[in-house]
Amino acid sequence: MTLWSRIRSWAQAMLQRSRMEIEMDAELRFHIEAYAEDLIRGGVPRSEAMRRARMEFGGIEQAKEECRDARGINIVESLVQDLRYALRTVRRSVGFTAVAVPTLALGIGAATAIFSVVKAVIFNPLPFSRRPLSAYSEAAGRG
Amino acid sequence: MDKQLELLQGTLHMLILKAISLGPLHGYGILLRIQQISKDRLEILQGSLYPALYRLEHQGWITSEWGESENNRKAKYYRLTAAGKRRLQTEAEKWNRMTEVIAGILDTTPEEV
Repeated sequence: MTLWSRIRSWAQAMLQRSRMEIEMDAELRFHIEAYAEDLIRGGVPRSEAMRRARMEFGGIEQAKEECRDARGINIVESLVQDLRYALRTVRRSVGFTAVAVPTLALGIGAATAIFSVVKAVIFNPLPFSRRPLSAYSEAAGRG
Repeated sequence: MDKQLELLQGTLHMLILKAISLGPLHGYGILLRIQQISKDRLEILQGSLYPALYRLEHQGWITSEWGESENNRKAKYYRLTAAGKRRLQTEAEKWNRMTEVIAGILDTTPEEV
């Protein structure tokens, strides 16, 4: 139920992003205007009320951003942003990239190669029907 | 009047669920209802209300639909779902147990230890 509604709300948000923006705008505006009206009823001059309502609400843009986050629609967008930022950084510092990329490549390659050997030699059972390999575990147990 | 208490972290969700459980409300109405019930002793940051509402809706604990407000304007009304009702119940029980334990600890006298 909750997973389904989560997926649904996310899909809705993705498909109807612009509609959601409009609705969110309308919702927050309603809040601020309703609050301003209450202030006016409480004796605050009309010109002052809107300003104060907006001020007391706090950061409207920040609230909107948090609302978008809450919906999960920022995930894709921020991923794209991060990738773009990464590419830009890589392009800007060529020297660093020239060192970092081969280092990572060699490191990952070496780790993979070593693990392949370890897996074949130690982890995978040898093709015997019985298990003479118990020598390993016994040795480990005594140590 | 006493100084307003700041909300403890994580309690806003529970208060919103409770406020809506008393009847569908729009965002501003939720704020007013919590303030009214708490007799203005709680300080709720208006800006933090909406992210919380969106989160609750995303979790499936509340749903929303547009309707007419008291002064004939369009407003988004929130209501509790069945899952939200269950959630409120477990949260309230957890909260009551928690306060009981903490109060017990704070009331302890040296003789009792």
